[in-house]
Amino acid sequence: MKTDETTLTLDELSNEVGQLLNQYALLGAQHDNRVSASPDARTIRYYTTLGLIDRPRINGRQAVYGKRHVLQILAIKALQAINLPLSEIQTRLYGRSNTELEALLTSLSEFWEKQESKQDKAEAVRSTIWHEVIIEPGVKILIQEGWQTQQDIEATLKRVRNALEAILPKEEQ
Amino acid sequence: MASPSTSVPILDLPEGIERQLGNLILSRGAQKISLPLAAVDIKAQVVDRVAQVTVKQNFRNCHQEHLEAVYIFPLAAGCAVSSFNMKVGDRVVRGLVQERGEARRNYQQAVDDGKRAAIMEQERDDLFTVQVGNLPPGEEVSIEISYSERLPFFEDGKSEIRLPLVVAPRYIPGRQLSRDAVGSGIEDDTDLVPDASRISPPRLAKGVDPETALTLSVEILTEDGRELSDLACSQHASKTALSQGGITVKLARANERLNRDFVLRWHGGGQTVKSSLVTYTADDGETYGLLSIMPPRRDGFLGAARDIVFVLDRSGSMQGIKMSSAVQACSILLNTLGPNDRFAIAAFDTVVEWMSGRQGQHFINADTAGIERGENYLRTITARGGTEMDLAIRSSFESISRRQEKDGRLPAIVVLTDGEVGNESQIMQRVQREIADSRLFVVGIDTAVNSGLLKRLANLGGGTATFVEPGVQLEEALASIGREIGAPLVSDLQVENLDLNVDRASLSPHRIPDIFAGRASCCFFKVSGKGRLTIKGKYTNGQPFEEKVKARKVDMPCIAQLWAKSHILALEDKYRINPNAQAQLKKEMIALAVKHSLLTKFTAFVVVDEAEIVNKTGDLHKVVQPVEMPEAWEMDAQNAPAMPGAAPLAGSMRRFKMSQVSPSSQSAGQGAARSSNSPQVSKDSFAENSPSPASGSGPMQEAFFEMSAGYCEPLSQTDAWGAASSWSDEAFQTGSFEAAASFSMPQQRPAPPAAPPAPEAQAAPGASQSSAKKELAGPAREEASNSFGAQTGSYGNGVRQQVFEVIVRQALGGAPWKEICAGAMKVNNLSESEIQDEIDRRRAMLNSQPSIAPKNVSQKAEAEISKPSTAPEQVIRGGLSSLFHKLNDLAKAASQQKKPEQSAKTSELYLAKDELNEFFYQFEEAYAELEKAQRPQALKLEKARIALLQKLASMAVGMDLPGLQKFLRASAIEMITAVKNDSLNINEIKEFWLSQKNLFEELKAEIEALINPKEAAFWDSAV
Repeated sequence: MKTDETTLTLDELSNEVGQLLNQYALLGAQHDNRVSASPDARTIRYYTTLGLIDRPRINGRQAVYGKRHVLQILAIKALQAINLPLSEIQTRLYGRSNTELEALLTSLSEFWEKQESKQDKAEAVRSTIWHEVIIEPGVKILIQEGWQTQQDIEATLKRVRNALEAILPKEEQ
Repeated sequence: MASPSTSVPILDLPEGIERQLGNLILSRGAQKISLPLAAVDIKAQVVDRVAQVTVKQNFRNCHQEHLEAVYIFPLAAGCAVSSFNMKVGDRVVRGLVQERGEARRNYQQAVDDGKRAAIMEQERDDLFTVQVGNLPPGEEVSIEISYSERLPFFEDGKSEIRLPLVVAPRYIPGRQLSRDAVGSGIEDDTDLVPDASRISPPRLAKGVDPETALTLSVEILTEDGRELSDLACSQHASKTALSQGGITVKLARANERLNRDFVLRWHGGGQTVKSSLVTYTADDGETYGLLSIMPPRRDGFLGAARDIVFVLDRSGSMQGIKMSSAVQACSILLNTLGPNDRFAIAAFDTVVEWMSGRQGQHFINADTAGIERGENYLRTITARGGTEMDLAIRSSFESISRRQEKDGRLPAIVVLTDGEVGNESQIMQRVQREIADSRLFVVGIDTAVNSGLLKRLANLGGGTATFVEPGVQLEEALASIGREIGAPLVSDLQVENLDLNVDRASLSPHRIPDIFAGRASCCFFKVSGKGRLTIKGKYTNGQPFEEKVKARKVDMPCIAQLWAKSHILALEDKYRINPNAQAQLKKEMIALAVKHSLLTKFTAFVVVDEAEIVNKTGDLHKVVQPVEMPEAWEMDAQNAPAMPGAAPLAGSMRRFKMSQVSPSSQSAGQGAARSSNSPQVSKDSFAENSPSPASGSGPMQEAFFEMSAGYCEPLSQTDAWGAASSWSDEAFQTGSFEAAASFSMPQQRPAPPAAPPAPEAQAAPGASQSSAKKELAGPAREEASNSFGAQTGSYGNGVRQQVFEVIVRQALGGAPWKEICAGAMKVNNLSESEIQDEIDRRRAMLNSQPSIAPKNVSQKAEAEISKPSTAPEQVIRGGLSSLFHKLNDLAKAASQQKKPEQSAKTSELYLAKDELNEFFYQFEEAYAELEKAQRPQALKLEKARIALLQKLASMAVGMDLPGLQKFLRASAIEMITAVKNDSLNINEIKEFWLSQKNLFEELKAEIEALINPKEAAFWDSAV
């Protein structure tokens, strides 16, 4: 049986995980604060109860972690980033070997890459021309090129009127 | 950037199959978890009062690599597991019983060689591990376990069978051990539960379906056309079918989860139920008998007055319906008491709280007013905290021994609990040693109750165990217990030969259990001849009891095995409390187990499939089967090990560290905490509650750091030790530790602290009135884990209670708690008023402590002085300093150790050699001065002590010497303080020092163990 030779303390583990998450962009372009990048001892302990992170080895009186722990935490974070609930995460990750975890992380990493490149393309396409019409000093209308109203023009005008009334100071009404 | 050795090459994969794996995991849609345990099938057959059960477990490998599956599961408590087979395809490979260490080696060897292998080990009476190694990818294998069990039998023909299906989470007290875990579970091994990692399987999150098929059938065979009635399955929907020989009960639903015990109860026997003796003759000619004695009729039987302690488990695990069931059960039992009875109620979690009686007494009369008072108290009880059962039981024994007017009254303890704790051995030891003439009864309440521990406790306590499922009709279940509690109907049972000859040495249990109203008493023995036996005993009122029973031959080999198992259980009871006889007892147990092919704590089943080598690469992927959370348990933030408020706590405690609470007030808190009424006393742990006035803040800080780390991350050493030693340093330099020392009991000012700061201390033999067992500041054996600091208990609710406890103590020590602890209080929802109430209550308690006059000490000491004194060298040799010499020699030996595994620790010890030597030398000098009737110099001693303490603080090996640490931070300070105490004369000081002798034996043993660690198996302590 191969043994894992890496030994990381909790802090080193946090750093390693944080770096790898960034390096391989495993959390996607936008990730919310809920999925914080550095796992603390309490979180690790909780996931250990669910069998999603192996127990650390004890060296002296310190807990030390290895490659498998890094993979396990990365996998959990990565699945959290796509908003899977805990039950789903346990279902997908429980009992996975290192090979399987690595495969998962590769897939996710590629997935996010594709997302990002799609987004770039989308943004490239999205640059368009806006027409600006000045009604009077202080009021102007911006209309996107190619815009056509989806309702009849009267309805649109009514909405413009309502909007103006909402914005205008009360005394003027 | 990460260093090369730690970077994880995750994109560096070959094409093809691995990528598919990843996509498989990521694919949308309902995912099925792929777990090793595919199916469980249980078949039970009940004949008369014996059940024979076969459990089949199917394991499958859904992975690409070879699999090692681990499954931690329960079986009926006290059962005799007699066969273990592995079925591969059509082939059945039979398992063998071997000594456990040998079995483990053989299993590991087989796995390393690439063969399929399996091993089954016993962790507790009702908890087992099965490990299946080298299961090839895609394959399935079936494990078959057979056991037999003696079923309980009640007077109206009632019987029950329990087939447990899941192991509930068990509370694990103690300090984390600094070695790798011995098991595959999720809890860390601690000093109180060294095999915690073997009894704690991982849990499934809510909503995850493990897809384990469960099938179950119980066949009850009836003889002589007896009818069965009132068949009731309390936790499952079941269906029954009549058959030729009896009734078969099966599960009604196909997809039941393994999250609660299967419990079946029934009434058997249309005729009067009688005592019975069944015998079985084995092939070797030995005949084994099972005797079942029914209780006689109870006409006009009136029990003596009873003093009953109800001990109610209110730990976090009882949250929800279990708590309300326990409270209701207690209330029902309360109402069965008669007007002559008295009762007390103790509710325990991490701490023990008593319903207050009058004048510090816990017992009140069970009249209408009293019972109402009890019920009102019960209503206030809510579930919170950990499960410090040892503490609760100790507290109950104490309360019983402190009763007023005890003559002619029967003391009894009734424990209402789910029993979910890991430190079973510790609790059983206490009951064995301290039960005296009390009786212990247990009411087990849980869907997956820890029946193993609870049955044993009842046996050891001379009482009975009854199990109820939460929410089930309690009145009926408990009606009979009410009559049982107290004295048995018949005791002093003996079997007398009539036509049959009983082999007395084989009687198991050695003392036939007393007969309680409503319940049969059973025992096993070897017998020869044919015909009848006489059973003799005594009723409670002294009248003789006699019954004759005729033996009936049956063809049930399991009777031999049940006898052997019962015998082994009795040997285990001896083993637990006789450290000197352990080697011999172990041999006996192993021999018996191997002869009868039994699984025990010292023997294991191993099976190796020699037919082929399936795993040539040596790759093995280990998966531990996660198990369900038992029904009626609430797995939420409260029960999960993570604690919401932990992180902010660290912040507020760092504030405390810097505020430099004065040592004098700190020690007052420590002294107060050592009063005999305080439940929080520590066991063998240097960190908490040690009566060390000058370094008082150390334990507190450690406590908070431990809590803020969430019970998981061990403390960094400098934090714990650096802080502590800097404290004492400051105290020392300001000379204020003296003032601190004199503050140990507030009302005793300026009583000398060497005179017992706690009432039970003895400065001179026989001086105090308390029990002879207690020592002054020694590693007290009967002290339980502290509520903070030592705790690595894993119920989140415990945090709040622990924080509460620590704040109260700081307050008692005079710290400005309202400012320091505001953050901690807010986070844990503690109000100032509740803390203030507790502070006031404890202060009131302390003030009612009787003060011990030192006069007794000096009288006794004077008597000693008048004895002819031996030559100084002889006294010195026989006294303290010789022991210090021994320690010194060990330190030297440590530096010369050549063994590679120990070199790290022993070379560290060598680094502390100078400080160790200096400390020993100063003590020796001081002792020499005492011998010359001169007061030694305390200053030098204190300096040496602090130097050693600081040195140990900076070393890893410091952590492995808790006894020495505790001595340096507690006893040494007391001894030095005694020197400085003007009101003690030289001889009193010397007496006091000499009384510390036992300590040094332990310190010596501690250092020796460090240098020459014994190869103790982890299971030796689980007995």
